[in-house]
Amino acid sequence: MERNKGELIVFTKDIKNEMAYENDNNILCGISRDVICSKLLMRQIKHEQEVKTFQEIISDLTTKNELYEDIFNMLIKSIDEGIRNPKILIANFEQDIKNIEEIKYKYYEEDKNKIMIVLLLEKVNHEAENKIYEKYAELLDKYPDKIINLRIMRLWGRNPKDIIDEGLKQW
Amino acid sequence: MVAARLPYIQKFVDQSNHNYNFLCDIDKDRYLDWVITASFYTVLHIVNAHAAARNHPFKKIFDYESIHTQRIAYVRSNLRDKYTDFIRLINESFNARYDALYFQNYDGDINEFLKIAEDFRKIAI
Repeated sequence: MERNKGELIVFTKDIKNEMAYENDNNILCGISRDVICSKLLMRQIKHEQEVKTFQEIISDLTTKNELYEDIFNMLIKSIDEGIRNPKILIANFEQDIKNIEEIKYKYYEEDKNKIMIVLLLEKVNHEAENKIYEKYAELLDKYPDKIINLRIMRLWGRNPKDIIDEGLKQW
Repeated sequence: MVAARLPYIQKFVDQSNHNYNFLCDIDKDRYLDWVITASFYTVLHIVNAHAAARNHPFKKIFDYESIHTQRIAYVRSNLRDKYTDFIRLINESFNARYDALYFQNYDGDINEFLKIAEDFRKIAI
């Protein structure tokens, strides 16, 4: 399924420059605990300019968007409690939706907001995943008018980029 | 009128039973991905039957995902205590079908998926 312009936020504790990549999904930024990498910030990194800290970016996001704040508070913090080194990817497709997607959104009378939450775990973690599913349900209850999808995928030693690409392609 | 819809409802029950029988027949150690997939499709048709019995059919209007989204919303509203299991099964079946490393690497307990399928089969249609 073709994706057009969207916003994709990658949360990971050990993000490297090569993980803040662009693809057909038009990833705009990646966030680590220490560094934020966006299209702009990637350029900053390349030019050794000062980059924003993780907390600054979170602060920006959360003041601009209550939904992000809730995702962060309800999901990410709960995951941090249960999983070491979580790799979390949140995609928000606010896009000029074409063809089938546009029709679908009209059908659901959506405001063309689509949130995809992709959690990349190193391996299966039932306790943490149960917590995630519970928090996800709370998120859906709070935002019944949004299309919020959740995928939990496992790395099993693979590069996150590889399964993110594949996962989003199949979604 | 439920009676008029009985054949329609029954076809979902039959399909669920068919998938469950397949689930029971396969080698669960060897075909973990199909265990999860068959569990999911056992459950999916139970949900379809439950919805059909309440005159809430899922409409294939645009694409697969639209039905999928309708079904998730239905489970959230009408089978609330099963919702988390349903979401888990959707997620895992998706991974099982599309992640080439899944059946070799899955390190969870597959009996969990059998139990979810069996729990759904106990739902009064």
